[in-house]
Amino acid sequence: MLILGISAFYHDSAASLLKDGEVICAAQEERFTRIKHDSSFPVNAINFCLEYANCSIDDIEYIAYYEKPSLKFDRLVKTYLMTAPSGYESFIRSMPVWLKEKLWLKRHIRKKLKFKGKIISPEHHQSHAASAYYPSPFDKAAFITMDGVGEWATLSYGYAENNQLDIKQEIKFPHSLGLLYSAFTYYCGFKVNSGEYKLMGLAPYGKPKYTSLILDKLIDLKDDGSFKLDMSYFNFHVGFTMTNGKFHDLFNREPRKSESEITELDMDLAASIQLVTEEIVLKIAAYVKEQTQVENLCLSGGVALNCVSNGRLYREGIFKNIWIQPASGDAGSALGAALYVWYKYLGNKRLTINTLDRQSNSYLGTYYNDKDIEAFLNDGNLPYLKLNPSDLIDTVSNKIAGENVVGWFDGRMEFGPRALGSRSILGDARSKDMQSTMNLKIKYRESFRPFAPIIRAEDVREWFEVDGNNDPLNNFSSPYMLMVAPIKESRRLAVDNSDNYNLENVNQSRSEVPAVTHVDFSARLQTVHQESNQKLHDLLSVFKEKTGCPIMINTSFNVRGEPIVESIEDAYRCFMRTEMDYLVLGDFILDKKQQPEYNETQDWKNIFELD
Amino acid sequence: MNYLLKPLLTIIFFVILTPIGLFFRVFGVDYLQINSKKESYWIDKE
Repeated sequence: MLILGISAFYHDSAASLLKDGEVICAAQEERFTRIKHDSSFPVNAINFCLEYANCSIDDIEYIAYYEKPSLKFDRLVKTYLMTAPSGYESFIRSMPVWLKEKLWLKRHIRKKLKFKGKIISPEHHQSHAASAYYPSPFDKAAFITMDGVGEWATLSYGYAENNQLDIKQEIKFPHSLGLLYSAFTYYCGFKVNSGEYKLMGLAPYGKPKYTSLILDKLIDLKDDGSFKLDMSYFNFHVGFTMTNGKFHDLFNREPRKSESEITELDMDLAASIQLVTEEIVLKIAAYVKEQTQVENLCLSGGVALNCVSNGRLYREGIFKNIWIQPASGDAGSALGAALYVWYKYLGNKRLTINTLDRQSNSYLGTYYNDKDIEAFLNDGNLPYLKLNPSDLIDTVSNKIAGENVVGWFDGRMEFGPRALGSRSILGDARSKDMQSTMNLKIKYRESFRPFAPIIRAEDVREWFEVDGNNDPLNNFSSPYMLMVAPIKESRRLAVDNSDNYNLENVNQSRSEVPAVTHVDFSARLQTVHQESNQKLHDLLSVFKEKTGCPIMINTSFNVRGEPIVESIEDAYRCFMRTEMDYLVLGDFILDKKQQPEYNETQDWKNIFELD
Repeated sequence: MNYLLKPLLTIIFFVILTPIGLFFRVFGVDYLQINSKKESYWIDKE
């Protein structure tokens, strides 16, 4: 039986396909349209899924749509009732789309796809919960879903066992942890729904001076982790901005303009809201543990992408094991909705597994084989070398150790926001200058954020403090780059911390792997497991043999504001536009110096919007 | 049809939605739980 999952029309549209309950493919629409966080109907992602499974829409038995539009409409109308005459402009702008399209979604899907089967819509947070629990390795677990807003719920928790999954309690709009974080993202000059990770990256520069003010004025937080926002400070429920004049008066400034100078206030606010978020998540987790009495926790929803908070949750040891859906945003709900239909709606059995999880390391996207790559290279008369796997690993490890930057395009594209070694740019984490070189010459982005390290899973304890959990024998893993951990004291270098607010501090060497060490000695790490990605694991092993270091930089294969590359052509274009030195496409390697001149027809640096 | 939509929506907003909303609020309807003060803000899932 085939079930197609779809999420669309808010942000980050996606499609996924289940065959007899097994996730066989999933992809985000942005990768195909090259529009970051594309929210349009994911027709390209759906076509990819159908082609991958070698089937047509007539073979699909169920379509699972990730939320209930009628319930969302109910929330919109009741919000207007509670806020009118404010909210007029939002009403005029949103209603035509609702009346023409969103309210008749099932009809729209049938027409667009010529689909005759059944369409099922779980609630938004049921889809998130399903995407958190069903692919996890656990037989029973608690789950917490936290995001901006779905229909009414903004946060929920519950208990799942075998194929059953039930939400117990929730917090409803407008009281939202995700929207509170987004309000500060907006106020500090970053883009809502995508710039949140920048605010998280900025936090270590600041001091959490405003924590008490936030807890006194903006949010009424209870010991059980439930909360209510004081809506007199916010505007997101009535207009197009997140905050209002009362909020701006509280911090004595108007919102920062994008690309203007980042001030001490922005850094302190970032540190404060990050700390408040962590405190809320810890209180919620403690309450959920008390209510469910299980050792395993699954997380999903946009807030679950806050890897600093995830790392702290792990180290506090409230739950023994944590599994986080790598596509925790709405894209992952395309997967969750389909799984919900298979297990919860159809009641199919969920068997125990012995592998890391049921997500296939999130390598669920498109794949290009050596024939496709060779055809592309020959058609374009592009100079290349084809190497056998061990020579390729040997060559690439030498290039990286020689401080070259390597584009790495191999295997199936990742599903979710992180590049996990299929569409990645790799570099030497030991290099003092690599952080700023990669930021300024490859990614063309602000330099205050360090890069993420990849490390062999078996080496992680030698480099990072991951024993904070109660159980010293626990098996720490972060295969999806969703946990932040401090670098071990013994690997740190003495640094001058007298000027904490200086964004250039990130360029100071503060550990044996300076390019991946943040100013607070933390790193957002990805553990590479032999069973999930043999080739990448081999590369790290050979690199370790040569240099003594099992760590490399892994950043997504794109420039700032651009979606991660999908095709061979995207990868080659990105390689030629930037100052990357080598490009690996499967078993092929390309040297920048040997490539023909690349002529651009447009100023590409202005095509992509900033987050 | 589209050029009629905006005036129609404007009328709906100010003539129907706004008075009903004001009436509801006067009689204490609080869909957004803006005025509630509770020991816990968890809501049992229906």
